[in-house]
Amino acid sequence: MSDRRSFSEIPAEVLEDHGDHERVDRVWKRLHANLEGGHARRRSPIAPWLVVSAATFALGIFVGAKWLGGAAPGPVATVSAEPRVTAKTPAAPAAKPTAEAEAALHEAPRAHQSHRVAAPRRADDVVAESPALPLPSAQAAPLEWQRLADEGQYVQALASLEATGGFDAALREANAEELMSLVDVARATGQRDRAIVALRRIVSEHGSDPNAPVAAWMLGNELAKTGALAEAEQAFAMYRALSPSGDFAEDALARQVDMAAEQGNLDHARKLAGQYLKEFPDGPRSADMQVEIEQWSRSPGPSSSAAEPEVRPSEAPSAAPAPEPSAAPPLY
Amino acid sequence: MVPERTRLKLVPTSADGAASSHAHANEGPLAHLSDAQLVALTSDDDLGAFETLYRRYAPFALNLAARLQGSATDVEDIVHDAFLRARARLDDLREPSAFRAWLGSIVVRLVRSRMRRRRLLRTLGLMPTGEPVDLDAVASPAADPEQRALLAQVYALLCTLHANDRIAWTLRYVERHRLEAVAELSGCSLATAKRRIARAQHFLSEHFVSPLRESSP
Repeated sequence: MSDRRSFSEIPAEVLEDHGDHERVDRVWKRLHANLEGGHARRRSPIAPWLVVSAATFALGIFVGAKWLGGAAPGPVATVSAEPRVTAKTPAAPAAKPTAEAEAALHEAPRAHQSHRVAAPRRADDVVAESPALPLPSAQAAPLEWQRLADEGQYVQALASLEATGGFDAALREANAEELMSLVDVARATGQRDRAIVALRRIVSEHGSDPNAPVAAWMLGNELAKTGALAEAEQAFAMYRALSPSGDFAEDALARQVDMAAEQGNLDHARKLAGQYLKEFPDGPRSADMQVEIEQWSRSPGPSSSAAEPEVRPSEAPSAAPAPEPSAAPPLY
Repeated sequence: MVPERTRLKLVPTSADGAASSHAHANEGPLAHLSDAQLVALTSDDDLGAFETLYRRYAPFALNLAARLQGSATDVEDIVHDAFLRARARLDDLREPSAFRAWLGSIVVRLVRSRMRRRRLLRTLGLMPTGEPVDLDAVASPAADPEQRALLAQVYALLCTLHANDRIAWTLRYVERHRLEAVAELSGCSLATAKRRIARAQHFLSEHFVSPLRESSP
């Protein structure tokens, strides 16, 4: 993956070690004093007051914002956090039109060398500028449900969604990033059908988005759980098409084998297993695949497909869907 | 036949060696006990067991906090609070042998809270600038100038990212955890962890200027 090439793991030896004996002892002395004082296994009695104070503060902010009629930007709007905010840098000027900025953000990763065109900047500059970076208009404050979802509060996020037009309405208007958040909300609240709908939309409508491969992977998993094995297999194939050397490429091919075998399509399963051994000879499933190929060779499956296509990841992710070796209905 | 992947386990990585590299972690009469045994003893208010756990994992927690923050500011407070919290909530630890990962997730939460608190203060105008990267807190004295320049740039860029993305990327590429471990430590799904890392990676790739390219003709 280009990711790995552009930023490999930082070697441990170049990193400062903070676990020196003196520091460890110093913290222990404080800890010990606290434990002796009996604070350790007791919930702080101040916590409820903090909660009440925070709630009062939040209410004040809310009332204030309402009273001002929305003239002042909300606190979140001034936070320079997301990558797209940095459109101020020479590589992506802040004055860029909103749609263009959005497109740039969602553009599929290019070769990493081409990313290094930004003018050299001192590290201090970046830090110094970061708090003051203006937000493009598209970078409005995230919606409440998104904020909650990002914090992992999925039940509350769903409640917020339902209170502001509903999940399905959000689904219709969401971009790829928002769709992924909706998927998280749906999965965490047990709404698999909705998750599948959102995942399908990402794969079919945002094929060049960086989220598309992982969406295809998740779609395969979700479909497999519903028993839609043929479609699940297509989704795993789609993952491989979108990200042939991705983190889950080996897993995806193994899952394709599983799906084909579970459907009883042993010829196809054997073919895929052979491909697995060819592509991942040292893969964690290679021994299993070897055994399974032998088993399947001995017992002819109920289906056979002499003219099955070569199961290779396609080279043009968005243009060419994954190979569809089985007779499943079209996925997208 | 379909592997069940709903529950992901923390996979030990090379970073696991951090604790064992500190000789003092292996001292004491209880040092030979496993994490699970020490957790059980600590639950019974055995302070010695807790100290052994502490000494085994304090270096890991200190390094984790410092590298996530990009500075050593307050790391002792964070680790102190993390161990206090861990001890207070030891009953919540369902798998005693996973103490290290659980402690790590507490440290991550505390660091994230601190980042958000500081951002709120900045937003409210109570803190004029962002917390500067302390290169000496990140880079080892053994690092050569090129490596220091790389770390300085990476951390400066990380400072502009959302706390979640920054943490996920740091766990993956600085702390060198595997994706599953990043998800576990961050308290999110694997897919979410991956998206956060990808988002940060995309941003870094866009803005990173290689020190090597700078010096080449």
